[in-house]
Amino acid sequence: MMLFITALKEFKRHIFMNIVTLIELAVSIILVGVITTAVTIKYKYYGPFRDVYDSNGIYCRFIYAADDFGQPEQTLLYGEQLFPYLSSPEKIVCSNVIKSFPVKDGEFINANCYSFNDELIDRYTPQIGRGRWLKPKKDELEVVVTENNKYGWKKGGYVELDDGKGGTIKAKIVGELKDKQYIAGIPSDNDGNNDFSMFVSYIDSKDTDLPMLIFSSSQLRRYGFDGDACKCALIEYPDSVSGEQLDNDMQTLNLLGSLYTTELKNVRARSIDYFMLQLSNYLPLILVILIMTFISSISIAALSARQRLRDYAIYYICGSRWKSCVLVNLFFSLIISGLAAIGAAAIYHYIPKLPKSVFATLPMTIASDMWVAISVILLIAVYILVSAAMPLIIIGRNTPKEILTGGNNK
Amino acid sequence: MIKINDIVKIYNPKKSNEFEALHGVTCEIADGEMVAIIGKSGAGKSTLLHILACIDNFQSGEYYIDDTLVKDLSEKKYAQIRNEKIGMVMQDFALVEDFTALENVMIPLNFSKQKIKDKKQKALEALKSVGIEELAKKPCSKLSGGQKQRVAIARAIVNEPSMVLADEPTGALDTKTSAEIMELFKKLNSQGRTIIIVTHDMNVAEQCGRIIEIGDGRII
Repeated sequence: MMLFITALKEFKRHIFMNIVTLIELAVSIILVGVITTAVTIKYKYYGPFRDVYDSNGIYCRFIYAADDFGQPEQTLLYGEQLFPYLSSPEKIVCSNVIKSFPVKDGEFINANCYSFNDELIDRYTPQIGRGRWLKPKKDELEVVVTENNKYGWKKGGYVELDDGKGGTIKAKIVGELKDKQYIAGIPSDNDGNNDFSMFVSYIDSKDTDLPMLIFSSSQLRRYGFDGDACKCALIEYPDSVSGEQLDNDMQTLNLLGSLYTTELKNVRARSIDYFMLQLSNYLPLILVILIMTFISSISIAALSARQRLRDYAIYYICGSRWKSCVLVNLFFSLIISGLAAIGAAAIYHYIPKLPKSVFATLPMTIASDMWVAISVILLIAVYILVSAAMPLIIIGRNTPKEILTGGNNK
Repeated sequence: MIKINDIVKIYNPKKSNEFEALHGVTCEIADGEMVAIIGKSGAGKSTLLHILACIDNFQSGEYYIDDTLVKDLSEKKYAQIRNEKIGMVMQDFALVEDFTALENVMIPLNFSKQKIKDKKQKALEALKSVGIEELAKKPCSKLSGGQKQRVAIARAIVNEPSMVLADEPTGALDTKTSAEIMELFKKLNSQGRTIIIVTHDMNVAEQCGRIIEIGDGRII
C-alpha cells in the first residue's frame, strides 16, 4: 500500500511529463491495435480454411445467371451435387445462392439469399450483433439476416421463403449479422488477386439496401428445398490426386458454369504473399512506435527512480527491503499503462463520433479479436518491464546507507 | 540489551582502497540507557551506529539485540528488525518531503508485519507525544528544522521500538531547538527507551547518561 501511494504521488509530482507519456502510450496502444488489425483482420478469413488451402484442391466461383447464356442445366447444382462430376473429391466448403425470393405479405421481395454448407458453417462464424450463428443440426429451419434491414426482420422473427413449388417455408431468424463486415464464403470478384480474398465479401448497408439472408443448406434439404445453386467452393482432394485429374476437374467445373477456377495451391501462395506484404509494410511503423514509447518510458522511469532513491532509503530504514522499492516503479508503470489503456479506449470510442468527413480520412479500424488483445497486452507488458528495468538497475547500483550518508563510507 | 563483541568493519575489502573503520569494538548497552557515542570525524562512530541500525554489515564479531544474534540474516529478517526493534533519527531528518507529517510517521506502520489497528490514530498519538499533533496534515517541505526533527522522532517511536538511534540529531538545528530536541530524547528515555546518540557536540553528549568515545576505530 505504502509503495502504491508513493507511486501515485510520483505520478502527481511529474504530472506534465507523465501526461505526455500517458498520451504517447495511449496513441501507441491505438496504433498497435490498428496495425494489428490491418495485418490480421484478413487472416480470420484465411485461418479457418487453412487446412483446405494447404491441401490439393480447387477454388471455383459460379455465376447464377449462367443458364441465361445457354449454359447447361447442371449450372444450377448446389455444392454437394458437384461431387459426382468430379474425380473423387474429399470435401467441399461452399456457399450457394438461393434462386427463390422471400415472401412478405404475400408479395415477393428482393434480398440477397445464400445457403452455406455445414463445412462452411462449422468453420467460420461471422460477426453477429444480436442472437447467434446457424446451428445446422437444429430441427427448425434457421436464418440469419443483416441488422437494421429495411424489411424490419429481427432476431426471434420469421422469414418466409418461396419454396419454388407454389408454397413457402418459414425460417426462424436466430441472429442478426453486423453491418460493415467481411463475410467468408460469399465470393468477391477479386479473381485477379488469386488469393483468399476471392472467398470473402464485404457487406455494407451503404452499398446496398438489400438485406442479406444466410440459411443452412443442409436444413434447407431437410425441408425439401433444393432451389439453390453453388456460388463458390473450395474443393479438397486427397493427397493422391494427380495434376491431370485436377486439370480435368477444373475443365468440368467450367463446363458446369464455373466462371473462375484455380488450384488451391495458387491461392495459398498468393495469400501468404499478401500476409507477408502486410507485415513488411507495417513492421517498420510498429518498431518506430515501440522505440519512441520505450525511450520516453525508460527516461522517465530512470529520472523518477533517481529522484526517489532517497525516499527509498528512508523506507529502508523504516523496515522496507531495498529491492522491493522497485515495486514503486512497477506500480507507477501500472498506473500509467492503466490510464493509457482507458485513454486509448476513450479516444477510440470518440473517433466514430467525429464528423464523417474527418473520420473517413482516418484508417482507424480496431478489431476486437484475440490478435489485437495479444498485441496490446504485449505492448503494455513490455512497457512495464522496460520501465521497471531501469529503476532496478539504478536501485541495484546504490545502497541505502550510501544514499543516506551522501556516499560517505566512513 | 545491546551487546557487541569484537566487531570489525572493513570498507572496500580486498581492494586497493581497503579501509578498516572498526578494529574489534566491544561494548554493552543496557535497556533504558541513554548513551552518547562521540569521537572525531572519521573515528568510526557513524559506522558503529549504522551497524547497530542494521543498515550496514560487518566482517567479524557479534551483535546481539535482546540476546538475538544479528548477523547473516535474510534481507527480510533485517527489514523486520529495522521495523520493529529500531527507530532511526538522522541529522538531515530523512523525511519524505512531499509526504505530510502524518504520512511520514505512518511509514513504519505501513511496512510492519504486525496487524496494526487504526494506524492513523497511532501515528497521531506519536505526533502528539512529540508535541506537533496540529501539524499532522502539513507537508514536511513546509515545516521548520525543529518540526521536521520532531516528525522524525515521532516516526522513530511510532512502532514502539526498544531502541532509538540518532545520528547527529541536533547537527542541523539552532541552539534553542537543539535543547528542545534533547529534552524530547530525555523524555523518551525516562519512559524506558534505550537512546543512542552519535554526536560530536559535547553539550549534547553530557546530557546522556553515558558517553562512549571512539577514536581510530576503537573504543577509548
